[in-house]
Amino acid sequence: MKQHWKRGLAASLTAVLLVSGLSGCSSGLVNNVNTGEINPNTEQTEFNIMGGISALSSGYENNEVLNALQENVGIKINWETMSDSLAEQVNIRITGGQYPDAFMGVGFSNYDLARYGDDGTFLDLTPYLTEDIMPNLCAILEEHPEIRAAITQEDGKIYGLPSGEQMTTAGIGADLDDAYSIYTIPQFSMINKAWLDELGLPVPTTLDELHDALKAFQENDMSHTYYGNAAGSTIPMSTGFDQWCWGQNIFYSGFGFTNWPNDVCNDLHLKSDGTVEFVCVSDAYRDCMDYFHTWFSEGLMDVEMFSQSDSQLMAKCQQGYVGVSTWWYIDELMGEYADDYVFLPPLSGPKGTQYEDVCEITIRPGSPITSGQLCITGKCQSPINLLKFFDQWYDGETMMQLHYGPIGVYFTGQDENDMWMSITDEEAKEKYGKSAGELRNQYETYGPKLILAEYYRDVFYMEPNAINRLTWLAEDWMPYVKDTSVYPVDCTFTSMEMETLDWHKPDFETAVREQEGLWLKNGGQGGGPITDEEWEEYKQFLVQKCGMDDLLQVYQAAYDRYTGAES
Amino acid sequence: MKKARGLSERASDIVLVAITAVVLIIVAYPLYYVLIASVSDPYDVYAGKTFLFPSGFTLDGYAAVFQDPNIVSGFLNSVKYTVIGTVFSVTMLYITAYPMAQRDLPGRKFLSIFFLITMYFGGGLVPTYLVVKSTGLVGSMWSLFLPGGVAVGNMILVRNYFQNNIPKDLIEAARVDGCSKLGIFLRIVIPLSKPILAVMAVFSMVAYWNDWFTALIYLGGKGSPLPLVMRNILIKSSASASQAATISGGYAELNKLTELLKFCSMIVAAVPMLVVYPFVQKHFEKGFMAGAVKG
Repeated sequence: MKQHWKRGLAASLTAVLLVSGLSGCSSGLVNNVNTGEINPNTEQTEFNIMGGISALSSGYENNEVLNALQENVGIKINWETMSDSLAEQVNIRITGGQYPDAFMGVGFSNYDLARYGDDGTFLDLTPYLTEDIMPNLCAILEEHPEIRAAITQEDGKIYGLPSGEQMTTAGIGADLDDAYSIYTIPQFSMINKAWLDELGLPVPTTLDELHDALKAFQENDMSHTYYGNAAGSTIPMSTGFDQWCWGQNIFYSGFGFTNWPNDVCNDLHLKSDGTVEFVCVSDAYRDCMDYFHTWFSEGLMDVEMFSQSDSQLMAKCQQGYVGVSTWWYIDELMGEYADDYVFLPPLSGPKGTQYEDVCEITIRPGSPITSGQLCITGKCQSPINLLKFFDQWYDGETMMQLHYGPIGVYFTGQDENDMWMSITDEEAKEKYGKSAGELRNQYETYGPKLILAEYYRDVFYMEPNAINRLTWLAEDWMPYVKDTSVYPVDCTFTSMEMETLDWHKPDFETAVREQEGLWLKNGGQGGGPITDEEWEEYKQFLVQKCGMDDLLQVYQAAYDRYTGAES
Repeated sequence: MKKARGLSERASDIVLVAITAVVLIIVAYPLYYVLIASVSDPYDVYAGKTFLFPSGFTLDGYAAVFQDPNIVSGFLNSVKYTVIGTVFSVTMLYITAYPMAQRDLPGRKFLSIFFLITMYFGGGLVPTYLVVKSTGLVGSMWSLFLPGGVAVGNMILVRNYFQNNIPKDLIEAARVDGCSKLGIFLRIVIPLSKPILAVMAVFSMVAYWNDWFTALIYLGGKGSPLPLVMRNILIKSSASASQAATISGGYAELNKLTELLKFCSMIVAAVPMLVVYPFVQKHFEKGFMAGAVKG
């Protein structure tokens, strides 16, 4: 009797699971709207849009720029916006079938786009990209075929409007064709020059010299003797571990590579001959790990480098504990001690090895062009009306106002080159009682903003800090870049390839990162150099358990297609 | 009347006081630390400079919290949800646990398993949301109480308490004296189970006071409770810091405020609970272990 009852329960549970599983799939069978034909309906003039908003925004309802754009094309938009937990809420709405006419500022991945495009949740926009409906965007796509390539899915359809920010050295006068993104080199290393002077040491140019300098900082307890902090408080060098702008990666330059955290895949490197490789299995990488382990074991690198947050690093630096670190701006990291620090140029490798005189920085790609910021759904009756509204976003002056704030508020006037000038902090404080940044926060909209490099040259000026950073990048750091080949961030992948990436990439990146940390911290077996067996075992693990070869194959194939399409 | 106390008794007193003092320090210091951290320069906190006293006294964090226009409404909402939720939850516990404690309840075995399953298996976020949506509760405050109305783990504790701590003879006697079944529940069982009532009240009070995720999912931004309001303050602050980090600079200062806000919001959220707790605590100590024996 009891047994029967249990079996019955198990059976009914299984049935419930099956049914729920099936209903999950069935949404793919409902009416697919993506037939490649245009929907000529123009009756709908009121639209619901759901999406992300800056936590600091004062809302889109009263945003004068957005309201003017709506008036221009005679539509009205009801906004439903949220500043956090957006992904959960959007997923719930899509699964529940209760979604709006469009999603704006959500940031769907290519994987999401393909999935929701396939089942008809998102509308294919290809037929609408015409001179009549979207003149501005069409002009841009005409001029920049690479943008069209980046937003086109593998099946030739486009499920979202392009967005991206090309903040490059073109904004400080470089030629458009060889301009570099502000993200090209994310870490600027810096060293305490006052300590060096006190000790009578030069600014290091090689890793050996830096080693000696760090050793001297440590032995003379510079934080104690020079700044009067507690005895033993000196941390010769403190950074994060594989962190974006505050990692240790810049110091690897002496071994001929810098493995930045990367939007495409960590440690992926494109050689100048067009083949891809992973630097984390190269011999240089192995030597690099051995080398820096000795630094770590001598106490030159911060023991907390693997666990600390950027706030903790900042706290240490602003107490004057730290001799060498990385960040974008010296004054921001070092606070009141900033005047004592100078940028530490990339260093060449240890003497007496094959890396003597080697000093190479591998560069990162800029930010990608994505198409997940504006997607129109199958619920929209008159896509034409809505797309006419969004076409206005692809005009330099309009985009600028959506990104920063309206002309007359954030932008005060044009100079003799017809470039818009933005409000200064003092003016903003006087007129609106808040800083220029706060003013901007209030107006910024999230959505399909395509900020082309040429806008910074032709339409408006960059913020002064961005100009500083780009200047340092161009003058102090780019000279150390010998090979500018970089894996293009806009490469598109087929759905099969995306499955492979989805499956292997997280494991691969985690495994490499963990092992990198262990080697830096503990070294090879028994604290010595990495042994041949360990190295083989590591490579085998990456190939067999983390799909390294599959990943390489996917990245190579996608790159070959990319270059084939461009030429 | 004072009794002459032996040496050994005094010695054991000293040891006991010493032990409780150590325990007190272990328990109280983290709270005290958060308190002084909430008025210190956060970078000094991370550099280990605040051990006993604040360093670089500042009230910026509290200023940022109390300047937010939603803080008062958030507080009132939280009080409302906590009071209603606690009354509702305790009521639900009592009216489910009491029948479950009756050995002659038909289908008792099936019902226990039925309850137990929900302890181990949940539908997940999306299915639960869909159920709540289809009942029309989204946007209503009842979406905070009804979906998780019976905390099964607590229900089992209460049931065990009823079974083990309420003498059967007493109930028998009441029945012989002509008391109705409802009368037994209201006049005998409830007064006798005050300790477990207090425990359950505190459990659900704390749970409702701290809950922000349910409100985030179901309330749609209206009627946010205090933790959600404070979370938004924190998000705003870190959003402006990270925006500064990308381009415009000034990250260090803004990040300081964000770190400070973390400590301040802990204090602001914890103080009301700390104030209420002593009033319930006298019942608490009697009841805490009372229902814990399962079986």
